[in-house]
Amino acid sequence: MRAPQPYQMYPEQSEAPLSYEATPASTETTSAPEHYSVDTQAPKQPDYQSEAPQQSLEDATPEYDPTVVEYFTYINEVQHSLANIDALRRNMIEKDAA
Amino acid sequence: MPTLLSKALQLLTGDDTTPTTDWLRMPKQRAFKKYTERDLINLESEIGSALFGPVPKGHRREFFCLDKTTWIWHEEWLDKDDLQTATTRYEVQEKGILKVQSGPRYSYLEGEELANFAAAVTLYYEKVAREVYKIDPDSGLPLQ
Repeated sequence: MRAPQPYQMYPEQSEAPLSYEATPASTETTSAPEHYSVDTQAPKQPDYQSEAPQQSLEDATPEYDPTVVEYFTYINEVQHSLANIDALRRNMIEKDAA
Repeated sequence: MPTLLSKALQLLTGDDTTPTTDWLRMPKQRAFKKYTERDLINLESEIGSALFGPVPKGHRREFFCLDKTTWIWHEEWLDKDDLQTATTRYEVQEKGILKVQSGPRYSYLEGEELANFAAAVTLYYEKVAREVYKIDPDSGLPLQ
């Protein structure tokens, strides 16, 4: 009695059409475009990643800021004048002392 | 009464206002003596105080380089018989010029104030080099 059971299983396995039906009916293959559509979004990620090095590059190379350059030009000008005045004063005092 | 030089200036410049020859005068008659640093600062300050135009009547102004990193602007005036004073110290640092006022209030010079200060300091140097130390500020050589 047990033998028929496997025999009966053959017909079940031979129901290939069912499996064929299942194959086209399965949404896995038909949903492949959706899967591809997800993959096609992948290029966006490299674009995003390609922006990262640009940001770090900008951070590494200071931008030319005319206001900052002008600021330190004034500071240098003042420092230069003060050093000159101090030198003139010292020279006069030393000359008088000599 | 206008002097002969004043009249000549009036004719040359065509200026009808009362001409003044104050700008031709030396800040102070220098005696032949040994100068201390304080003496030199006083001489310089007379020039520095006039950089911003005439000092108002009743005011006393000092504007001078104290040392290589410090600048002083001191002003005194009478307000209803009360002596008012205002002293500003400018500390010249690598990263900027720190303005220190009573209070105390601290701020770094920037923008137009920084530009004006730098111009005043440069002008001060050029004038004291010529008028106090008799040095050409551009070449550093003695004036002839």
